[in-house]
Amino acid sequence: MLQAGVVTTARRTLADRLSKPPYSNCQELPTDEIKGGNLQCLPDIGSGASRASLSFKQKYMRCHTSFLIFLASLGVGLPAWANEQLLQLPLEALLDVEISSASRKPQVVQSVAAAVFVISRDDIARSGASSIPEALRLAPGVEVARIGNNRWAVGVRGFNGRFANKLQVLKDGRSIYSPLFSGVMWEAEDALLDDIERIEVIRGPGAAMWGSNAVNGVINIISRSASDTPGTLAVASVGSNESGLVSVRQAFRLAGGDIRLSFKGFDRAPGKSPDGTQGNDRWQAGRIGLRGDWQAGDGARWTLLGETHRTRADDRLDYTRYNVQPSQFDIDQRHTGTHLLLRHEQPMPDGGQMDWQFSAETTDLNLQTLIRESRQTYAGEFQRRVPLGRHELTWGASYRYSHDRLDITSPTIFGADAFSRPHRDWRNTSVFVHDDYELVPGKWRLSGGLRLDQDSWSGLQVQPEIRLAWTLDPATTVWSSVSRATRTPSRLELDLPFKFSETAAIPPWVPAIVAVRVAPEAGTLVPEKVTSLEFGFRQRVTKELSIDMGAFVSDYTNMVSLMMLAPRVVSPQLVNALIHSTNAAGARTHGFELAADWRVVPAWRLQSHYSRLHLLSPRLSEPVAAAAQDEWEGRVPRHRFSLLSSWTLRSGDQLDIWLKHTSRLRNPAVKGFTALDLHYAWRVQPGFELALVGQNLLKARHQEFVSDYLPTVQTGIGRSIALKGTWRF
Amino acid sequence: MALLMSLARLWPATLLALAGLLPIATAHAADEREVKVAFIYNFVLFAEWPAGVGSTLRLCLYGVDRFGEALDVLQGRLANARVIELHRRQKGQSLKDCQVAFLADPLSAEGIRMLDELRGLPVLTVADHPGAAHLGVTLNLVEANGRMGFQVNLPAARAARIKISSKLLQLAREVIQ
Repeated sequence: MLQAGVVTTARRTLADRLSKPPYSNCQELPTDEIKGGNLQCLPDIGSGASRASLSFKQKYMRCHTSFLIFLASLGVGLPAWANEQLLQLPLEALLDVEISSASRKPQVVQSVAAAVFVISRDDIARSGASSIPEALRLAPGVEVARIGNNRWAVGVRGFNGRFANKLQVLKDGRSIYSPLFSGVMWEAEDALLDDIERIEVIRGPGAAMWGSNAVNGVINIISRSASDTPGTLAVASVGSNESGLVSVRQAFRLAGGDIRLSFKGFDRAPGKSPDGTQGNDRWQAGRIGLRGDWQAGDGARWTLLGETHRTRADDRLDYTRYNVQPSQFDIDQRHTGTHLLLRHEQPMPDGGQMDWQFSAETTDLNLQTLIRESRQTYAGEFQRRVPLGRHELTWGASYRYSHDRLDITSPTIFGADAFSRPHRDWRNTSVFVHDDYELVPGKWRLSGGLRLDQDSWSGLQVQPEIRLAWTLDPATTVWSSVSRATRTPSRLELDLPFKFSETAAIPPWVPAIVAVRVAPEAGTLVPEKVTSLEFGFRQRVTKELSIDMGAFVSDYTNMVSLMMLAPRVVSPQLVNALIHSTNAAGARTHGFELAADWRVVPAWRLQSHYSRLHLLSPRLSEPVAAAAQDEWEGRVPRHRFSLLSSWTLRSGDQLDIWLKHTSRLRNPAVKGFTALDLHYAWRVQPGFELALVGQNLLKARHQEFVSDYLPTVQTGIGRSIALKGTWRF
Repeated sequence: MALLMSLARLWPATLLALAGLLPIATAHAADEREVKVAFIYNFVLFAEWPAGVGSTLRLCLYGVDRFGEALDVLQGRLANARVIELHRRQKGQSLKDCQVAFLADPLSAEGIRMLDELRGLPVLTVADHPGAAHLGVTLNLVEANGRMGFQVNLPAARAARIKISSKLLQLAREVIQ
């Protein structure tokens, strides 16, 4: 039985790795039944029986489809070397061969010439994270800072902020990067976490593949195929911070495929300000998601995705510094959004693949008493992959059209009651080509890509990349790349008017200075550019330990910052300080990330990462721009560290301890913090799991970030505890 | 840092030099077909047929060939002292003389008919179709979370009198009892 026990845990951790429910108990059968010490998995007290019946329900379990591509039909000139390599791998290693979307096609992570990290569904579950930004803390190089209970700053490799504008984020192939302010409103992005298959994080410029704004990285959030989520799932949680959460998911068979409906609703209580008053950062959301997957006989696949949500993420702004009355006011922030996406993936007779997708989306963002945006976006995308001898060519084209309407609901702050252009269309046409070229079989691979974006606001963007990977042996890869990306100016940068004035004790004989932002003239504000040089090293040191390192130097030019023009005397009592946006600033970042994954024993896994980052921005002489540059440098945490220990007990229970550290920010000053999360999951009975999650346990309250752009009143990030029940039937 | 910067300057030159000088060979990135073939090879290594099956191991592909040349590396390869012989069979042909039968489309009426026909015979049935293991295919390749894995249908293996090694059972994503 001891032997059986050891094997049990080995199987469980392997299954954990594969994010599939494991068999919880295995017993050795008499050797005469099946020779060779075979094992049979039997129901145990915990969950085996449910697993057995559950697995039977997964009758139509089908491969996850989103970025992974089934290759069909006859291959063209497939040589034997790659195959030979794979044939030599032990079965355990074969199970670990991973395929990723770094180059818009399946690839083994080990050999990808880019800094890629994959967060699996299992990692998310074991971390105890209850929202997407929290889960992103699992990846190296990603800086996640919580501003309040409903707000995050998420960035990669610097320039983090609430409206961090250098990160492209896609949910199932649909960009959620907002053209309004060049960023992602994380408070409106959520999902039933069990519906997420994995999150792929690509650090460094990815624009040659993913288009403009993939300046510092790309995050791909990929949901599970409807065929992978059979039956019914119900999740209910109560907690001190997240007061209540309910999720329900139901899958059906429909027209030869699978379709699922997911609902998630939650309410997160407002936090406390440092002075003890209750903040205005309540977070409530309800969303219904839909995913359908169909597979045709010829290997073609259809995917239908849709979602509609309502989110409330209130805010409290403090304008005490500025001449605005009242100085503190609450903002009711409401989001509604609906989208639908249809994707078709067709394996081709030449061994390649052809994909296309269409999506339509309508969103409404209402920051009551500030601004309101309603937007409709339609996008179409086509991609073709063709193997051509030792080359593999991927090319594609996309078109995106977005129409918006912006209303100013607070004339006092903006100094205007309407945008000069309340409606604006945005059109983006892109073509890209990427070639993967095997220089020396199994040793050297060179790949190059180029993407041209024709943007109706910023003109033509040329974004190239070149990457080289050297596979020393099947377990070791060294890679390097040079790439360029652009960040296009946002709608607000182009069109936002505002005025404000400092009130700090102005004597009556000094004229009031009112700062007025002048919207740039057409064509004067150009995209920001980054050129990045990267090096990486990846090694599977032993079967149990693998390490991944990435180092980079990035040069930023044409960076957008505000600048003051000469003062304009309106009257002896009033002077205007005219401010406009320019491309005068530049910066350089360098740093590295280390990640390690170690299975100490089959039941105990340690995942750790460390990131180091430096940012330097040569100061402009103009004080407004220099102040912004101070903040770019000041908001960089030098060190970040994370250690997740996942232990699977003999009973099938899971104990996870997650330690995170972020060093201090200098301007605006935020102390460094260390946080500890605990997650314990009991398999209470077949089909029912109970989990206790404690977050930020070390300190009653800490601060992670000071809001940028909007002067949000800080609320502390408090210690919290939650009890979560999960039913599967 | 200085090192990194000097590397930065040298990098494009190095890259060009490499691109120009390195020997050129016919090659291709590894793909999913190859991973599947490697799995099939491992299945053969870790299965044991009843006595009296002979010294060759007939691996038959039934229906649409989605592997193409990727499968050909198995031709003539040794597996536990037996030589693998590849056969591509069309619909309607028999698979009763095969030791391994890969069913391209097990969920079709034709596929199910074939499974019924092979029941009780010492033929290891393999597929890569979701749900196939629950239909009676002994070893089924499934993909999730970016990785390939497999399911084992133990009753099907027993009926075929094929012994599936403990290693396969340990590593399977799912074992159907």
